[in-house]
Amino acid sequence: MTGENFAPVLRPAGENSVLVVFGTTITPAVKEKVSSFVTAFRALAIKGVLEIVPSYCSVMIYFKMRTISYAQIKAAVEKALTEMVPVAQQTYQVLEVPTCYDGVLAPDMEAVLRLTKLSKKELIALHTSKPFMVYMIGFTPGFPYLGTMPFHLPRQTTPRPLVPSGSIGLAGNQTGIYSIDTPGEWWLIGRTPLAIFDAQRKDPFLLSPGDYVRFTPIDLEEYFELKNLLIQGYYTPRRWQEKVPS
Amino acid sequence: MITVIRPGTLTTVQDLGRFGYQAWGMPVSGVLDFYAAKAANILVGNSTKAAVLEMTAEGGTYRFEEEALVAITGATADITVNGISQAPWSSFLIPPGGILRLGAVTQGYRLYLALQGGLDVPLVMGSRSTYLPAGLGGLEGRSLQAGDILFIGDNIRARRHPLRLPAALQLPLEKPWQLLVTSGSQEDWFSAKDKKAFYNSIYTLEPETSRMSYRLTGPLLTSIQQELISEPTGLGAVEVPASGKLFIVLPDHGTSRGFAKIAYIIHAHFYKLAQATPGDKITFKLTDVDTAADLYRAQEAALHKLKEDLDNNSL
Repeated sequence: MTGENFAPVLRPAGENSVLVVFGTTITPAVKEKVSSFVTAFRALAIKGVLEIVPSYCSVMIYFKMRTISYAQIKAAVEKALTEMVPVAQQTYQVLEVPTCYDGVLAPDMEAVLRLTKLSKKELIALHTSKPFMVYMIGFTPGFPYLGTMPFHLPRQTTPRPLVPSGSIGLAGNQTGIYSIDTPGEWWLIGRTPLAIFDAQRKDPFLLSPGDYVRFTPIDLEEYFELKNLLIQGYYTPRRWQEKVPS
Repeated sequence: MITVIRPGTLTTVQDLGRFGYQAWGMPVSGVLDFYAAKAANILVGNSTKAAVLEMTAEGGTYRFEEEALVAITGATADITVNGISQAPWSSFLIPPGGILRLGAVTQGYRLYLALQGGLDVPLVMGSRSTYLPAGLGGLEGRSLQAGDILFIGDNIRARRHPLRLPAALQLPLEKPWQLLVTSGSQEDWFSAKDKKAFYNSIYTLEPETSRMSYRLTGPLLTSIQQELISEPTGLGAVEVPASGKLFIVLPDHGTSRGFAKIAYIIHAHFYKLAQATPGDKITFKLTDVDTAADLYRAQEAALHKLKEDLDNNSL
């Protein structure tokens, strides 16, 4: 089943939420439908909607049972499905994520190079040569699932008890950024000084679903310099709008 | 000001949850037994959104440096103030210097403590709920420890006097727990045999004190062959990973998960989920979303009536 000819289906998810499924694959085409639906549903401005939560292939709508009924939500979902149009967006929000791929900040680099049979230069080139889309945010607050890499890695069999936040990981054909210190099983190939999640910041999340990330290589010295600037508040993460080839 | 002398097994500051950020991977957190927590807040004249203490398995000991009107709901436990026994599901005054002692729970599993004025901890992303895995919200993002100081807020909605809740308002803690559920998002992926096993078996709650998920001992459901790409998953979901073992999703769960869901526990029975004790027997019974919503609205109506009666001094 591909994203192209899969008719959207409503699936049950408890009495206060409806799950709308747009496909069964992790592909830009399915993700596009997810984004289009979110835009169309938001535009209806339904009273009583608590949260709209997109994922790879589906969107969950949580609602307040005291304000709106299940039938009314279902009707609104069906209306949004008929009104959704392909996102005509030509440009996307891109966040630059300066990343150091060296030394202790890249503890699994050697292992990944062995598994992928790439040179370090080739791997860094693959990781930095194009922007990656945020397919989903989850696992921990702010953790972006970015795709896709042109190879597939198995999960590490034993999770690390503590992965520092800012670590850049690889798993499957995806790459991600650890948003808090947490146990983890992705292969760590670098680290960014950026805090992609900070609950105390006015805007706690640097990334939203559908945004893009462009990794740029920095060396150890630049990593610590940037980290210091960030702590002192002298560095603002770089963002721009970019046309992203699909 | 309150000094924590003994914090209990897992005591955290919670409110009704942190909404609006699940799209960014932020779990809702919040109280599990929202009925008990709301009733406690209503008893002391707070908004139902005020922060309370959620205490798991045992309550702990607290010294009140100032007078406070307090209500404790949820599970049943020995409650004393300066050695004098207090009724659960009631509000009572603690004098300055008073020692509130909560014993181990004797029935149920989670206690809720509300204070007139609410607990004064900072709002983090719109909520006072503690989310332990990221260490945020509540008191420094963690569970209470001996020596902690808690401050009482001044957000009082209505003046209240010590009072006992009408017994009819307490929800029954009847075992074995029968949890009403609605169909899960992948219910149609399960074989008829699996569904029969799910609805006709007795499951046992495994020991767990985290607020992420419960594991159940009982018949394994092994008919799922398909892999599920991670999808948004709500509180009360009954998940079945490849092992066939059942999991129930709790308030600190990840916002999207890749496990087939056979059912969702209805909101009106979250209190049972909160009050079931490790080792307790659980059964599942299917209902529909409209019945589930009606049962939830009935609980909300009962709480609303309690608030009105208290506001009108007619209890």
